[in-house]
Amino acid sequence: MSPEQIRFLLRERGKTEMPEGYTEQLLQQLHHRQRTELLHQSVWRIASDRVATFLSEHSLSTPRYALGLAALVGLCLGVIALLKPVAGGAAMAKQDKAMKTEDPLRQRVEAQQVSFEK
Amino acid sequence: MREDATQIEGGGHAEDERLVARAQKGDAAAFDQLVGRHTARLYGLVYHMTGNHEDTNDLLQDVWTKVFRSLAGFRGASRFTTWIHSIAVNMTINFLKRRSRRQTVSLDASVEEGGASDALESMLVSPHTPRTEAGIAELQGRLTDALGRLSAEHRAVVTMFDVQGMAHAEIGKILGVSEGTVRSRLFYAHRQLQGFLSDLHMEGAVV
Repeated sequence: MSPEQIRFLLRERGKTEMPEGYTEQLLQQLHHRQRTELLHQSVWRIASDRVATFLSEHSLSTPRYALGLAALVGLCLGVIALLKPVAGGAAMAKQDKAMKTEDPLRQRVEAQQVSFEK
Repeated sequence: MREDATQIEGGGHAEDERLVARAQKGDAAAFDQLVGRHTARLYGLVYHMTGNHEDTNDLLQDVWTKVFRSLAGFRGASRFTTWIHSIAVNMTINFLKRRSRRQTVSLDASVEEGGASDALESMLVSPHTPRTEAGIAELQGRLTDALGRLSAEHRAVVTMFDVQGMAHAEIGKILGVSEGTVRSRLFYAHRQLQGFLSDLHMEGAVV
């Protein structure tokens, strides 16, 4: 068989058409498959997909932006962690002082302790 | 002149871009329209590589599922049609390699032993008779067997160039190879097919 004859047969194959109604059938199968996959996804996977979609919608889909955002969140958490003990310590010291001045029983106990030591 | 890989009806590539943009924002109807616009060509491509409708249907579901998942990352560096053809071809090649079939058995063509040469002769002499049509079906069966003996990559270039009429440049973009590589693979594939079908030689036949 000559090359031209082979090419003729190959070109004839190009006239094969897909079955009628195939596209609609394919769409139904795709929709069913998507629903099934969604139902079997874990909650964490759905949540991460939602976050990724949110980021992509707000032009934050590149790794650089994601890293920047993560760094910003980390910085905020770090600042909060650093500030919290200082604020807490001052409040506790203030509270302690208030307790000492306002509690007469405590004052008598402390006075007796001093006298024992003497 | 050979057509662009992916000439499509109704608005061409601009319409594709519009639908892709809508689908990327979550418009499911836009994605369905993309499926409707491109499935026919993809069906032909995958079918002529695999040789049967069942595998074609399974692969097309996988192809469109992958397109759906990857659509958010499509930035338009290539045309949408080139992109989906690339996905379809690569998935089909991987499928064929996994199967490791040297011969595809087509459920869609029957071959009668010893009749192929007579069929070719009658087809070439008088191409539009019922006998000729039956003869062509037999020859196509032999050709299907011969295509099945090609490697997946060679079968892909023959399908895209000879069956679907794509240009060398477009095939190169789809496969991610140079135009020269496409031409080289085609030359080799045609030679192999000639060898596989050498028993169907004709004298003085004109196509």
